[in-house]
Amino acid sequence: MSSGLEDSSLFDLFRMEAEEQVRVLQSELIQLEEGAPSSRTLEALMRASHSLKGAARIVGLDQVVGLTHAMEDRFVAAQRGRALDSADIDRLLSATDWLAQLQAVEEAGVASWLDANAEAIGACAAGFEEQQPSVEPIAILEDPGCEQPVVQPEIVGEQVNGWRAPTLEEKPAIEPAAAATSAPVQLGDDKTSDPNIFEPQGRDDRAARERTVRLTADRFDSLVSLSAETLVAARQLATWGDVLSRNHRAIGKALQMLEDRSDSPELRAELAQQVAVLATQISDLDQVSRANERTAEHLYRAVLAGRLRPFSEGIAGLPRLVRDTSRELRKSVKIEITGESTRVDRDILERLEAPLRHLVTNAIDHGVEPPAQRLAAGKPAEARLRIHAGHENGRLVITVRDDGAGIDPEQIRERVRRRNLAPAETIAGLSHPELLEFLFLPGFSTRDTTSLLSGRGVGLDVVQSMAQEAGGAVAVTSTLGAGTVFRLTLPVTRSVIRVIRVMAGGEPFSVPMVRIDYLAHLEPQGNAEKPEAVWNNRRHPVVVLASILGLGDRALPKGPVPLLFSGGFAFAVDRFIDQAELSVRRLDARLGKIPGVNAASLDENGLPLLILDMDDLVQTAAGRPSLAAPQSDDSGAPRILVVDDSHTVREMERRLLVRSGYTVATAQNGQEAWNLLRLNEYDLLISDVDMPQMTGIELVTRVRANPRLSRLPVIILSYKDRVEDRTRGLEAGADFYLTKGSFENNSFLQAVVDLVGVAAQQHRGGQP
Amino acid sequence: MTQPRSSRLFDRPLPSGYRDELQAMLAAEQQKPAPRDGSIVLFRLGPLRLALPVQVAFAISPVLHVARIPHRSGTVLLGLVAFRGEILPCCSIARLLDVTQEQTAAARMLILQESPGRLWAASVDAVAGISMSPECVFSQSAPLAAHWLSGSYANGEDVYHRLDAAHLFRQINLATA
Repeated sequence: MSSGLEDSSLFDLFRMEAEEQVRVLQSELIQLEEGAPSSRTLEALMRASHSLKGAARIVGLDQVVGLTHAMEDRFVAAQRGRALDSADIDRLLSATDWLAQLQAVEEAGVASWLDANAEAIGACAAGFEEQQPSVEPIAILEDPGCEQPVVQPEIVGEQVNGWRAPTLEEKPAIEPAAAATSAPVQLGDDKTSDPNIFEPQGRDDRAARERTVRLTADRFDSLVSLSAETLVAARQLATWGDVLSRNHRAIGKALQMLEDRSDSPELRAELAQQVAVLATQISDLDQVSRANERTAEHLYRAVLAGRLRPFSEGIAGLPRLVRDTSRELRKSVKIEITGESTRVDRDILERLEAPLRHLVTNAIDHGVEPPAQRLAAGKPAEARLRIHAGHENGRLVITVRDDGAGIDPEQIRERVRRRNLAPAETIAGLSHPELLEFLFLPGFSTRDTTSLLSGRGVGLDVVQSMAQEAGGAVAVTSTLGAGTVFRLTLPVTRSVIRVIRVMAGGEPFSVPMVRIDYLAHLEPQGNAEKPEAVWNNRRHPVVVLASILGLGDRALPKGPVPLLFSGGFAFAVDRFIDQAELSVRRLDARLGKIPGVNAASLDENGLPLLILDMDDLVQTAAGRPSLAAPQSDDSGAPRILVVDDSHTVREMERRLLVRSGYTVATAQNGQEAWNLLRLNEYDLLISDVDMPQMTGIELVTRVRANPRLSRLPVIILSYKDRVEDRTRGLEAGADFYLTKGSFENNSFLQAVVDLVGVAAQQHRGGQP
Repeated sequence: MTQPRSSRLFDRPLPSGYRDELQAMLAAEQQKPAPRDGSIVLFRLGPLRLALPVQVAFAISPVLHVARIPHRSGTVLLGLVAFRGEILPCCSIARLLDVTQEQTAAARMLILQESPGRLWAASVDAVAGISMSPECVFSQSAPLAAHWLSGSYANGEDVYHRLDAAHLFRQINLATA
């Protein structure tokens, strides 16, 4: 099976290599700065820059060839004893920044990016060159193990964009790190102190790493799909085995009856033999099918486990961040990372980087005191920032712990009071943990002044959002004077989740266990308009899940109903089915965000099953969906309601109109639009035709039949472009009938202007 | 020495009128072969007899269970189906072409490939087969607007109309995005 990389462009392959090598360069450089340089570190650094240079040459990135060549030269010089100082490390890290930046550039934009930055990259590389000894003897060495002459690349080389690059097959001569002489030393003279970097690596820590193969994410997902399908097929085989067994028993009975009526002993013997053979074959099938199912299950779990990556892969940039941030803030901080081999789901790992970076920056900026202050407090001048990852009770737990000043709860209390975030008597009674919770409010900051790094109140709410989106949580504890600990609790994997399967509106759905507070069969109380269920001494509004999912209005049956408690609401379902473990599939991007739905899966029979987004459903139940009335707007701009079940079209129309100064509300179907029209005032309705629940034609017909809305201007924008479609739309009462197939911004906006006039001011009414 | 028999055969005088006959034959306008396309899948959808290139009609499957999608299912987008371990959006070409539900039977599913890795499931009434290099015919009675179609083919007594794949996918995307 191929890896899928054959579809990658050369630049993609370069990007993958650069990602890996930049990680090595950055982590080894930080280590180098922290301790005495070892020959192993220098060797790793030179190997990484050399590999990058080769890769850059293949894809024709001359500037990168020059830069990496200059880096490689510097590492070679360091191996010869010319020590790397702090300025060198800064310069080398800056060079890796260029390489990291290049990784983020789209292939089509690489040439222009390089053009734009050629001078700066050249200057960065020239910085190394200026440090090189001006004259060195040319030395061409005979490598006993190599037919090609070995050329010292820093000495004999062609000029690449102003700085040298070797012309021959590069095999840089390497001197023992301890030898500070400029005299070249032949490779192989002392293999113990100066191993050939091109030989396979020995027992260093790289070799101890897991052997890895590259596989594109799509190809991996395809493997997961196929293994899931194998499991489904294996289970179906087992089911067929059961069916055969039943048939076997039935045949046995029938034969018994036939046997009773037959006088032929030969026939009896033959029948008995055939039944025995069938029984043996069924037994064999059963054994094979069970073994097959076990293997398929193992295969499926093994493939899923492939999604788990070591925690270290997600935090490669943190040591660099700590170094740069502490230096900028003139603080001394040492980072300690433990649990680097802890397995984390690839998706979670990708999303961890930003929150962890924020927590680290926050700890250094807010938590850690300046060295003098620490010494005065009896602490070591150098602060400790500990990041630990581990598994606890089947969850991934990450802690970010600093030994800084801690968080002053009274300062938070004062800030809460000044911002009037709660009644005074409540604020006075808030406990320490309750006060710390305010840190996660958007825009909440304990700083009076802002800096480049923090104090803007942006960040901790993002950390919390990330944790919640991933099905986890974040908590903070702090001791004044001793430090602060942030604790992220996350699922180990997002690939497999435990769910409760329910039936709603005649369709099966699954609800993640972590989002369920309680399940019960209870009789709703209160009036029929606002039924409630009591659990845990609290009243919970009862919401019919099928209705909120748009699967039709359903009245609550009398008597106890199955209720699923989540986020302060009781969701009524048709019935609970069972609990299960599902592999999570992302929803097809073509579908966009589906309200109330988070992901999809396949059940044990291979049928699609949707996984509900309980946070979204709770928001909807609480009356905070897109269905809500548009925010009050006193701009005087015409208000337009856009209705389309295609989120792409809806968003395109919205942006276009907002950019032209209109105030825009949106709805996903006719029913939703009708609800909004009844509740709010609009100057124009723009509607699609084919939509679920209520079509555009039905909507327009209702609008025209309603005394208040009958004069509301209406534009129909539909993909249906036949004459009869137009006629149908116009006969229903539309003022304009535009087709999506021939959509043009200008004609669309002109139709809007014709009906409601020009918006007085541009760029009002919302974010485009 | 006598001439070989073969030489005598080739050197014999031309029959009378042979040269004129050959000239006339060479001068006659060659009848151009009817244009032929690549293989196509023939299928029925209500009263429509339609065709799609085999590159587009990626696979034919028995009817798959369609899971409804909240807030979305109901028009052209019917829901989600599972095909070979993948979850695909399922759309109704019938509704796109205004074939009423009463006219359709949905006995088979076509798996359509818009581009590599981008599949759609669509129910059809019946698959009539695959026609290899079918011959284009002129049809005066196209059942759909011209922009939907890109050719017609005879298959026995029936005429099948090839859907314009680019237009079809554009409309599916517009109606389901």
